[in-house]
Amino acid sequence: MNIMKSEIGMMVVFTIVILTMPLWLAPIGAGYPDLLQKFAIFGLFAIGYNILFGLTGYLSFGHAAFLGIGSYAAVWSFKLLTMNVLPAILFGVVCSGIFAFCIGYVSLRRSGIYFSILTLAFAQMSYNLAYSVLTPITNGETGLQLTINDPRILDAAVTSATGLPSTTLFGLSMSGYSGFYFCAVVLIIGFFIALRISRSPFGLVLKGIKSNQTRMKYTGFNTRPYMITAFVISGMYAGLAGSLMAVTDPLAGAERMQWTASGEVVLMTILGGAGTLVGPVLGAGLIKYFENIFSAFNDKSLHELFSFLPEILENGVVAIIRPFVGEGWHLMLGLLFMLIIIFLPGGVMKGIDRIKTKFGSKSEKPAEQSE
Amino acid sequence: MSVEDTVLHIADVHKSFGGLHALSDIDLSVQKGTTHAIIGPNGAGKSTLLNVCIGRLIPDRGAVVFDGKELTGKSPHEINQAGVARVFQTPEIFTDLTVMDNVIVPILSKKDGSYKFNPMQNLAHRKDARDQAMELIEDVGLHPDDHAGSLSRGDKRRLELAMCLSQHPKLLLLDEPTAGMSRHDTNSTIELLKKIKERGMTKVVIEHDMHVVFSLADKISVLAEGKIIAEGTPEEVKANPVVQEAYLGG
Amino acid sequence: MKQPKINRRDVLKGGAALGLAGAAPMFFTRNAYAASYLNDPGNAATVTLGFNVPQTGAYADEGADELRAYELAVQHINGEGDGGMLNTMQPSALKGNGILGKKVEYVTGDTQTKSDAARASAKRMIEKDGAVMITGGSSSGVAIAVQGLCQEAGVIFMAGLTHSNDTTGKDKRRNGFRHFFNGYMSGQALGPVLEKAYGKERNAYHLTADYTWGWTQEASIKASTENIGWKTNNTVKTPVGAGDFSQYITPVLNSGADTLILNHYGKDMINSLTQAVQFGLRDKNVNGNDFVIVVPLYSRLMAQGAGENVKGIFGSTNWHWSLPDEGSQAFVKSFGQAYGFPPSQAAHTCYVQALLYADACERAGTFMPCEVVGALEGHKFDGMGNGPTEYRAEDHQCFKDVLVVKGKENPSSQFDVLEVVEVTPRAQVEYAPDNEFFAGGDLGPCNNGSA
Ligand SMILES: Nc1ncnc2c1ncn2[C@@H]1O[C@H](COP(=O)(O)OP(=O)(O)OP(=O)(O)O)[C@@H](O)[C@H]1O
Ligand SMILES: [Mg+2]
Repeated sequence: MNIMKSEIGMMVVFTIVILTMPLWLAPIGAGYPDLLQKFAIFGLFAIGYNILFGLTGYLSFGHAAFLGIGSYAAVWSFKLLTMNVLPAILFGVVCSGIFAFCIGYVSLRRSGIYFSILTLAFAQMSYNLAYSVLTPITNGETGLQLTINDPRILDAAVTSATGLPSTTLFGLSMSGYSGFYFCAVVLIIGFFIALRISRSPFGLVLKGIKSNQTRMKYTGFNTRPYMITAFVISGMYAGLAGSLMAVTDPLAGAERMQWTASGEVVLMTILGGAGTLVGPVLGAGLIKYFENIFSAFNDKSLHELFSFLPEILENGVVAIIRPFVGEGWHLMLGLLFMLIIIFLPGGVMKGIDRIKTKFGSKSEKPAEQSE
Repeated sequence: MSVEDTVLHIADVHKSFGGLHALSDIDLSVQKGTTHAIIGPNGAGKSTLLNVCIGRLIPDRGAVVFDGKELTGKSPHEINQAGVARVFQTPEIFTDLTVMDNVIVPILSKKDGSYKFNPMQNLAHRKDARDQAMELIEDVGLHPDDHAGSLSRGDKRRLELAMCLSQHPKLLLLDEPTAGMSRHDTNSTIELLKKIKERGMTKVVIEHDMHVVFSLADKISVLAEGKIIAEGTPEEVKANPVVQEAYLGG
Repeated sequence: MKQPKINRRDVLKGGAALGLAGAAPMFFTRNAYAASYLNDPGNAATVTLGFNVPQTGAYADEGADELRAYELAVQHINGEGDGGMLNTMQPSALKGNGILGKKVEYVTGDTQTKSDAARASAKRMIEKDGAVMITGGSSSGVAIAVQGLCQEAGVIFMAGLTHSNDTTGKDKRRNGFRHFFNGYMSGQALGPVLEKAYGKERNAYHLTADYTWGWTQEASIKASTENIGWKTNNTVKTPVGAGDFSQYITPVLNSGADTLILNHYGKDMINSLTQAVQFGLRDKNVNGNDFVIVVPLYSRLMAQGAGENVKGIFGSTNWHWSLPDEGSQAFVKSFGQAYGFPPSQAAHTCYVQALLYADACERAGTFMPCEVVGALEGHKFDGMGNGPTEYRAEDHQCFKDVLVVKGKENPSSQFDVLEVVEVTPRAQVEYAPDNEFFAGGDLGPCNNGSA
């Protein structure tokens, strides 16, 4: 009866929803490749983040560092090895995994707010390194880009008509819609792995750590390696997302590692519902969608939107809304976030559950809480 | 009773907090298969003694020897893996998880050890763990799908007891296992503990309820102000004038 | 290779995309076959341009002025308003009826002066809004990043305010064009003026914005000042948008330097200059020299922001609203009428870029990027405020006269803060395409894009 309960049912529904995104997102102005790619990439980022935050309750403020490392590693793979995306992704995931191990090893000596601050400090350090000190590797503020003269030792023979070669999956260009479908497939695989983790003994141990770390210790679990493993896995997800960013747009910039980017994934996860499986993907989609819609408004488009009102009213409404859209859309995001935290502490997924129970659907239990 | 039968030996353990001598030169042996009760007034140092045993506190002096191996300095998870489980004075359970998952976690620790990376295994297919958990949950009279956080205080204690029992520890430490329970629940807990005893599990029980103590204990140690003031069978302790004065209130 | 043809790879691409899409309909592959280049407006009555400017961050003032200029340019191209430079541009193929008969519409994006954000907003305008050309930007880092994106996507990029040598040097692209001058040109123009004003015996200390523009300008100015005999005391990088520069300025006091060169722009320059003056640098006398400050890249907006502090300070600029030529006056007049104040150099270069693009499409008879590239390469024009100008085919850099300016001692209005000291002729700032400051890049082939 409850299709979402079974693993296969859930995967089928998820796969269909993700792959048909170009169709059902087109009417609300989100059916174009760049945004679709972002949905998939940030969905993946948030899924991975949720493995740490949602399952173990450890709040990392530094995950953007791994996103950035994944991007840099992927671009270097494009520059040095080949334009094929698979080695780039592999390289990105491995590099971010190694970094996550090092950062996690140190940060996980503390818990709670001290852990959060340590991760934040590490991420900020990485950002500053990428921004200036490591300029030979990262190309500083400009960002690491491809050039025609890069060695690319594995595909030296192939030359491209556009001057700069584009990223490919064995000849299939990774820009536009094919790029989206590639990211979507990776997202679906990433979702499947997260689903399995959350329903595995390993996942249960992580939930146990979140619920009562003291009990875990006196029950015979060595919690530290579990935490490090979870941290590394979520760091690798972030690196995967970062390398996909480079796949769809072969550039890596330091701002990807800024604390605001780390904060964004926290917002996504909490907004959608930390600890749930679909929540983080939903949260990522919502934030990226609103960012796109609200930030594109300017005076002109606002006036057009409210032109049906009498002149004075129109100006009044526009004056009130203006600070919350365009370059000020972060205000809108902050407001949205406050509303969610106050009225829906469990995120959007919690809200959906509430509506379900209210309208008498007999699905006894929330479809896919972290149970 | 020979020395080989000693499961737990607490040798000259001393622990002080600042100027407070919570434990002074405690020497205590627990024989295999027995139930050893520790009684004493509030603040006597009973919980502190258990904390020293499970690695939560490190003694200033002395040693804790379990099964012939020294425990002092080992980390809590190593001590548990060696076969020591504890029911805490305030229940330490997983309030966010279901009763079922609460019991499965310790079973996994017993089966898989202190660390195992098995992220692709489906927990629903761990029939071994589930069946065992189900049996224990029924034993203590709980429902597997209930949310542990919403249980009553007495039920939380029983859940914690089930969690510890699920590990089949060689030594079970119980810190006031019936506190906060109704008379009826207390009696069924006594029955449960007796049943375990038949299986030969060694237990150390801290209790204020003398009814519980005298129905379970083979041996009793009386602790006051960090010192053992009397030790013996229930009858001996009952008759001891020092104990009568210090604890049983004449 | 201007003729697009469907080759094996394209077929493979389409096929694989379809395979992945499964049941998804084919609409998204439409462009790959129906159009010969990305975002071809076809029979539509309008054509869309994308204006990508900083609306937040250290360069937001410039960005706002750029947007005003673009809006004005769109009006003029569509035949509205007084026509501005459309009347002075020579030669001109523009008719005042849009471009190729299509009315010009535009979309805007906020670069936030971040490469990532700028590329994302450019992508949105290309993919979602169907922009056939992207223009704007007030930071070289962003300009280079967006130029790279436009090259990959297959649309024209008309750079806005970008002064780094790299934009038309090591990071040049076939689909990208720069009207603005660059760091090397500033150095060449400033050298002789500085020598005349401050002599050959100087000890210079550089504070430099830590990104491509700052680096290349520092290198260029260092080279040209060392050429006139100055010594370089130290070069220190500062982060963009630092706000407080006191920690960088304090060491200057005891360094033994007698000249401070601020390779800063926008709000950074306003802050660092103001603080340098507050620290009393200009009242000092070192080695018998009065301490002086030089701001190699000047803009009126910055000078206005720094107020009193700019008086007497030398710098260079691409354009200034007080220029007497017909083109400048026409632009200043229509900008002033629309907004009530004179345009900045950022506004000027963006306005000119929009007009040059429109004119090139008209001359090419199509919006197809490779044809437009052909129309712009080597194009010579006049009447746009900088005298005779050429888009050099080898690197897509405009060559024209450079203005050396100085903070005015007695401003007549709040906008009248700079005076033109010298108009350095094109010949003096021109360089070979393989000049050491510009070497290492390659325009590569042009890209028409495909969907
Ligand atoms: N971690 C600690 N730090 C400081 N003092 C402590 C600590 N743990 C226990 N104590 C003190 O040591 C003494 C013994 O405490 P303990 O908890 O062992 O008593 P108890 O016999 O278990 O009492 P109760 O019957 O109330 O549980 C008390 O005075 C207590 O305040
Ligand atoms: Mg106690």
